[in-house]
Amino acid sequence: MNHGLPSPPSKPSRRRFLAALGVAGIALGLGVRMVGYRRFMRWKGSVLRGWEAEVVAAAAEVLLDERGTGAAPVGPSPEKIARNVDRYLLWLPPHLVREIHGLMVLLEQGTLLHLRARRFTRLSPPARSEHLERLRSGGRGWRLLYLGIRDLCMIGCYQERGAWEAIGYHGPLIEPPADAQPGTYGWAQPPSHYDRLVAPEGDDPPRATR
Amino acid sequence: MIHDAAGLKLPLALSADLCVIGSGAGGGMVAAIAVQAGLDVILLESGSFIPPEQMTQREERMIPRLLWDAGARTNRDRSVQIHQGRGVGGSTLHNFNLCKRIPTPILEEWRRERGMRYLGPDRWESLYANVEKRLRVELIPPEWRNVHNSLLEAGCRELGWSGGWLRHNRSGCNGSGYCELGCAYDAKNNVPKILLPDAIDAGLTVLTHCQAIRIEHRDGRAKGVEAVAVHPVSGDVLGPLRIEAGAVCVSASATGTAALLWRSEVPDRSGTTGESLRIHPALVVAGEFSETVRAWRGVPQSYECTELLDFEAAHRTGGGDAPPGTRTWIVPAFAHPMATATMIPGHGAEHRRIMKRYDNLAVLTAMIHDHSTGRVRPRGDLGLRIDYHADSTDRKELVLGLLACIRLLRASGAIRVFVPTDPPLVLEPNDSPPALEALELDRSGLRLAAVHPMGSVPMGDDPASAAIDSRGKHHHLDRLWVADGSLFPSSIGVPPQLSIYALGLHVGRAIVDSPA
Repeated sequence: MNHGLPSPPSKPSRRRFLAALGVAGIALGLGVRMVGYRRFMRWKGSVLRGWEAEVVAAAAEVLLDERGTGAAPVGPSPEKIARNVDRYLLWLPPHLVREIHGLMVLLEQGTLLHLRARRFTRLSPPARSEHLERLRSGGRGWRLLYLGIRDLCMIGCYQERGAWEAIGYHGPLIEPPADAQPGTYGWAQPPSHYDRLVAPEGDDPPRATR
Repeated sequence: MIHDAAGLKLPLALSADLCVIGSGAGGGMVAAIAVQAGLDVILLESGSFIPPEQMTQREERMIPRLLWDAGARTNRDRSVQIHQGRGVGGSTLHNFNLCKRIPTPILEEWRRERGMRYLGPDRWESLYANVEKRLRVELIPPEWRNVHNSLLEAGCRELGWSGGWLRHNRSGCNGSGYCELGCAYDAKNNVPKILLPDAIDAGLTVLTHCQAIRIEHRDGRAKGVEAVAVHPVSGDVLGPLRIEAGAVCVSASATGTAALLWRSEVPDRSGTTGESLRIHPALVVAGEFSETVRAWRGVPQSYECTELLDFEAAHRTGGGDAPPGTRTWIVPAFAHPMATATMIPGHGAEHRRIMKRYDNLAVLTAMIHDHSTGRVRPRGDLGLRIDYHADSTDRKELVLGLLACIRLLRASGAIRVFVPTDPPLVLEPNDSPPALEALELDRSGLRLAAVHPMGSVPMGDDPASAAIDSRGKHHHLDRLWVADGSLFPSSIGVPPQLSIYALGLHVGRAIVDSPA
């Protein structure tokens, strides 16, 4: 009987205390897993965040390495591959961009599900390679994750001239001028007979009203 | 003139006699026919106008501009990569220029089952004659035939299999081999080259970076189009446009058209809109040769193997009961390094081993005349969703085609064959071909590709079983027309561009002849 008096604050039970401790531990662990990305300190991506670019680079190191050591990927550097991937992603529609961000989270933090304390980018190259192999041979969802990062790395790598010589590909017959900026569509060419079909920029079509 | 909607001050309202949505083979032809008949026509295109001087032969620059979703479009379960063109000219910008007519047994079946009062085999014949002349369709001459295609011919000859050289719509080709990245030499006789200049001279207005969202309709009539200007790269919406039109023709491809009709809530008492998508799914196999093949050079896809293609047999009792090995078309298929690297399975040393032989590879693709049907629905205002899963008979046909490719590569002298299962299956000269079960699609890791979506809004003369009649006119909404591959009542088993041009001509004439 409490005789209408307010009940005293209950003492935290041992179970509650341990649960709170567990949650705090997990939060701390996850927090630790999400900081400390230093590889691309000056990264200015269009779609990928700096840590995501690190994920791409770390994956490229093992996916494109013939010897499985992560030491010598073919063609361009992993950093260059990450930049190429970022530029490609600019063209994707929003729902696919969202999927790519999800893919990066799953790849980076999914090592937990394989009982690895370190995130993907902190694994050694052989461990990264093993992780990717597990995704590849896993269920359908994991396999799609593997295929997604694999395809991005291939796109980032094999668009570069540095990857072509060893495969006997001579490259395009049209060369860009030396000052062509990445991302530009074409480059200065002689006027073509199609120019006459194009209205001056900003000119309204006939009978336009606002 | 061509106006870039992304550069206009928005919102904007326009008016025309006819608004055509999509500038590919179907829409481009409809717009050209209508404007030359004196109609005031506005043509909407969500992609860019890409003249030859902007075709840079770089995969990373051209694929995102020429293909929807930067080439990453897939079905819902991600089992098929579906490539669809965009830009003024649609898929005629990046296709390989093959021109084949729909086989007569298919046209006869359509007549039996769908009526086709306005579009029987005789009408097709005259449409094809007209379009082939416009597009200057010719057999690829011997001096243009490259090693890659000659290997397939050699394989067919060795096995005693049927095949032949193909007709293309190209003039002034220099054999650069960059066709799928757009032609920098203006050698494709496509929409921008053949139809656009005269149509613009006749008064056609083209709006690029302008995506139709809805067809406006009231009181049983199409009244216009609600559209948005989109950013050329990101696709972000920049502002609205509204086109008031006396008639609307949708030519937004077999996926885009069905999604747009659904999003617009266009009435369809037949319930067929978006319910019967076909895609011609395909598998590839690579063969390694001791001599250099350099498959990326020269005119691609100039030879076909038709040993497993028997349209008479396949349509004797309807496509669903076709005997195995009668619905597969085999042609060489090759890509530049970036796309090739994504098609070769695996990574690291196993992947690199095959890539290193890039110069010595020949690749064949087995594409099937599918009867499995998929579904198309809109995704928000701008996107769409594709559900497609090849059924067991189509899957078996695909595997038969794959085995035939292996035989052809070996017969033409391949020293090794790579089957793109995951991990890749490498067949040395004395190895037996793989068992059928090893190639089962779900378990083998084989990835399907498709470049011919069609049949999502099948035409037919009975309003109870079709949304569109055989003139291309909507049964249930007046002043609405469709002119693209959506209209095919089944898959056609051959590349569709020629037939889509022909449909555009047919529907364009019908629009011109219909009372306002």
